[in-house]
Amino acid sequence: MTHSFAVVNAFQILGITLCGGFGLLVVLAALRKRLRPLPGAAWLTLWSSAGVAIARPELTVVVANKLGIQRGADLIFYLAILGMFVGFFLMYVRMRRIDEGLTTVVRRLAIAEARHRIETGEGDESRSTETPTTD
Amino acid sequence: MSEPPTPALRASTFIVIAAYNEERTIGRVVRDVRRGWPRVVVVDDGSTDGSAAVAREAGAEVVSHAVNRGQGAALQTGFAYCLTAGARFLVTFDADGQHSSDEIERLLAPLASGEYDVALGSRFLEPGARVPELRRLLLKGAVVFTRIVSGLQLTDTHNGFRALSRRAARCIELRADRMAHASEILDQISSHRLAWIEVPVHIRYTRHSRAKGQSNLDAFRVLVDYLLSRIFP
Repeated sequence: MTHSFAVVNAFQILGITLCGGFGLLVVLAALRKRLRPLPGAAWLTLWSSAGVAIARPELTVVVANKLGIQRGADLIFYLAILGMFVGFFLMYVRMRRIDEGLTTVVRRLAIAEARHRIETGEGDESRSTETPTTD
Repeated sequence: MSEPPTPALRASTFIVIAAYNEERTIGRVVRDVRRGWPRVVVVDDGSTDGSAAVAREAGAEVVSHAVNRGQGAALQTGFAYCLTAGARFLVTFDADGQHSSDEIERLLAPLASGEYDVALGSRFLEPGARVPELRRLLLKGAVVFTRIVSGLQLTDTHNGFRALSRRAARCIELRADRMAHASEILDQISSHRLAWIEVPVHIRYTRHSRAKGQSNLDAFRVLVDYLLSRIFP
């Protein structure tokens, strides 16, 4: 297998630059403790792999073949689909957490307002202690 | 409950009604319930019409969600409010007028005797119950599903007419904001080993209640919602 590092097309320059930039952001976020080690390592692996795949596309063929897939492009495609599902899953989990938090806030506010209204006698609540007569 | 409910029982029983844009029916429903039960709590679930004002005018205590969060969330808000207000028994009642307030007493009887923690209304135990065919089929499917998932041998699952003791209301914590709460309640009854009983109740299917209630297609959404809530508790 021969490979010339000198032949780099415009897409590779752009792709490698972007991947390097994102990788650098991940490292900075991790250093500033804004990213936990495990997600940080996962992101770094993702951007590094993307950078290598763009710089040395023939390597994807080698990995694909080892996994029983013929073309490197197919491997990238499958991984992208898989990544998309993982992304949806993580977003769904996060959305549920936000949703739960919102419900808790709405609930606490609603109960506090109702209790305040009763305590101040505002709005003529009919929560009187008298029991309405039954028919 | 062979004797009429005592004033103490009436005063300590809270009727929880979750309402979303129900200004047409909520006033009548609240007034009807309050003939026998003074503590009616309407949880206005972010209605954009005058539901809250109408309910308040009819004599209900109104707890208002700032934004719509779903029936499950509204009921849980109602439970939390009633528990802090000292409720001994809680009854969930629909806002669209399909339940009969005359049956509250029947629903409470097993709880008042101290024998049960939860009484679940069942439209299928009512002799000569008239349930639209497609709805009957879907509900029966839900019954089978619930029997498999929760292990509760019920005859009706998505019936909003239920009574809970204070102990049960404290155990149950609804996290499913939307319609899957009906299945979640059953799950929690099962997991907390609460003593439950089914009580025959009559459901009035009116044009309004059918328009406001779940459509038959919603059954699929409820199922998906329920399964997701089981996967991501």
